[in-house]
Amino acid sequence: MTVSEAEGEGAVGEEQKREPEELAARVAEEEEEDADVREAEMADTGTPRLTREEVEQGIARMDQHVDRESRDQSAGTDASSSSGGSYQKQFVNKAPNEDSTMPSWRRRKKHMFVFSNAGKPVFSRYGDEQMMSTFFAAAQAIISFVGDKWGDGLLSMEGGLRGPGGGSPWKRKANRDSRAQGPPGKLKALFLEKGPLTFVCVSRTDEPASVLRHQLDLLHSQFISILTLGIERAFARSASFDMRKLLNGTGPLLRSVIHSGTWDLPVVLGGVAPLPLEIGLRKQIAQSLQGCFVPDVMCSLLFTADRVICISKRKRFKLNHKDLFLFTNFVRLNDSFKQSESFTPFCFPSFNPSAFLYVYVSYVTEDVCLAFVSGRADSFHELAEAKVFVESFLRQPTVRTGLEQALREDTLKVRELPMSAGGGFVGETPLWHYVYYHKGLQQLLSPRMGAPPLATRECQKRVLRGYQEMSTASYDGMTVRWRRSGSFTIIACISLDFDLYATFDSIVDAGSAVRICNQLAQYIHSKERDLLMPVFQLKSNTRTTAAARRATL
Amino acid sequence: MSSQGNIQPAKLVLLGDMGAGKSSLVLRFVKGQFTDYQESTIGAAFLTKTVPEFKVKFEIWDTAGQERYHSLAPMYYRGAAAAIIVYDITSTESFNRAKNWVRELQRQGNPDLIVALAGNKADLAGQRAVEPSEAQGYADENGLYFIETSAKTSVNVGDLFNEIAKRLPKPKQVAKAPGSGNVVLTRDAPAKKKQQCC
Ligand SMILES: Nc1nc2c(ncn2[C@@H]2O[C@H](COP(=O)(O)OP(=O)(O)O)[C@@H](O)[C@H]2O)c(=O)[nH]1
Ligand SMILES: [Mg+2]
Repeated sequence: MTVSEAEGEGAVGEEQKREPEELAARVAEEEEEDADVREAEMADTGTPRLTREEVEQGIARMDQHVDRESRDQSAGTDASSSSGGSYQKQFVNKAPNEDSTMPSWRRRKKHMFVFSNAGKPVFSRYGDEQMMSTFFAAAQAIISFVGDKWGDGLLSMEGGLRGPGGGSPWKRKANRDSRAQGPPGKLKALFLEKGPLTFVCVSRTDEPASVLRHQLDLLHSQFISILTLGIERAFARSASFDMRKLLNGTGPLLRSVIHSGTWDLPVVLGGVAPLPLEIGLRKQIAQSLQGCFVPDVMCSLLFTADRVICISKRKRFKLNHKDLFLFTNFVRLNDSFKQSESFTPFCFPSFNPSAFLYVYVSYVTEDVCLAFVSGRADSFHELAEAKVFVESFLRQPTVRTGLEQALREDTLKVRELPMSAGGGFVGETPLWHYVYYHKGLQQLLSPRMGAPPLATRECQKRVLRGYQEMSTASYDGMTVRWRRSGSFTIIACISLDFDLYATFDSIVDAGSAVRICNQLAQYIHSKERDLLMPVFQLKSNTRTTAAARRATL
Repeated sequence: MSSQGNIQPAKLVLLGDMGAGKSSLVLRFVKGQFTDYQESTIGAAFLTKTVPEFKVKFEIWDTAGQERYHSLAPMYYRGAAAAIIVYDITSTESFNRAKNWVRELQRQGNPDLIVALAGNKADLAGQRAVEPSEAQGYADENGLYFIETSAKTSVNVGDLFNEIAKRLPKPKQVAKAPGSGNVVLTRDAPAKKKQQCC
């Protein structure tokens, strides 16, 4: 079966490669004496072009991968994730009263739950986890029966889907191959043992096991971000320890992470979405984030619900895209941060899973949030003072208008591109959507998906899955990957420094699609300076007194 | 500045079970707002409000109340002039948690700390689970100021904060920070390094 072949070895290898390398990989590491703000060197390695043969090879191979789900263009209209109302409300338990014996519960497409080694319920995406003790006990029995033969804590199973109430899905043969991919609708189960906790995913979506695993990992990381690894010590003291007490109120946060694993492009592809901003202005903002230097601040961040405006950090504070997502997601999920300044412990799991750092959080405008990550629990008042400084800087008329302008704009919309790069209105151009992924910075540029022709959720999901598959699948080192489905065509151009994923209409011919991709990559490359976000360094020896700060204002 | 020169900052901390209405009380007091969809506080929120009649600037720490943040609570109540311990009159459990907070503060042994006990959600009298007489009795035994409030209808919210303002030690002339007309922020005493949960 070609689909599982395409999922082959590369899926795992690629995923590992994407794992936590530092976001600031490209930051010039050597110390510079005078510059307060140093910007990352953007890769300047010319845009590789794709040859005709490469394309044809790619097409020949990939044309076999006809997307089956292409017919059901149904589904409701899109509700963009950042649209009005509380973001949190979307993630309350949709079925708080269901339990594992109910058909409605069994019909849900993707379950995730967590239980302790003692079989104690900890979390369930749907239903009331407390009512599922017997289910968890059964799941646990299976795990211990099959055993962790492979030692990596991951066990995955597949089987045909039984009807509701049709007996245990667990009886199907267990198999090690996390890469195998059943046809859509087949049930997959993954178990991931992490210390005293077992994370389980039971899914009927067509996401491959590697992707589901990634989502379980993310869920685990968000657990750690709230509780640190200290949770393991609590279990060591008492195996019957009830963790739900500690998780009180975090259900929506955990559910939102599961959602993001499917729907948030940066999470799906493993990167950060920067706000395009004129480099001069971004530097000034970085300067203001440094001008208020407070000892023990590891990182200052300015961001919105879905894009990062500026990061200024100490060199030793490693901040990868995953930790950054966990943090910004944590902030955007809680509207309570909008009501006042806050100070909260937060653990950045890739940086240090055993300790909390202290984060000062305050919105400086309705949508723009400022955060200072500090190693000191008593730094609040200094950080609050620093915020006043940043806030007054951002209020300066030129800065404010520049930033507001940038915030209003979407990232390089298709219709704003040059015609040769696929620019044009819907219907005028075969190009529907694209993602430019800069590997060194682990940042991605992509217009929002809400507008036609990608207006429906179903359509967006299929495009996202397409990108995801292309990013993880091995195509024997192919630099061009191609996939036609009923209503659109996805093409991926993989190069050393960047990946370009693009969605075209279904009738585009390969030649023009590739021509457009080439032009698009070149165009974006020529604008990288303003589109991508260098990571600025916070210098540890900069001490600005309050007086000096006032003078600079 | 000089007109405010004699305004004293006072650190005030709110403690109590999650969902008792701490944030709602603070937001009612500081901003005059209330929402039925108040989202849970994360970590702790910081707000200030000046009460000119009493020449006090409250610097309020609204804590989260979740169990996982418990070990961090000292960071917020250390150095506080006053604490409001909030429970929900419809929940005995929250009243018990309030008593635990009282004990914890007593163990800290700051005799000057003003402690108020607020029985919130008084508008939900129909679902009442804690009698005011019981709470009053407990408050008397422990030297707390007790009042029932409703952040929703704003009943007694002003009184709660005003009473605390009234009880704060009168500003002494000598207590003024040297050489400054500015309001001096109270700083938390340095807390333990790298606290972890559990
Ligand atoms: N009926 C009623 N509901 C309240 C009152 N105060 C708070 N609430 C509600 O109780 C819930 C929890 O309030 P919140 O302020 O977040 O509690 P906190 O966790 O102690 O900060 C929210 O849904 C509020 O709307 C009140 O006085 N009356
Ligand atoms: Mg609260």
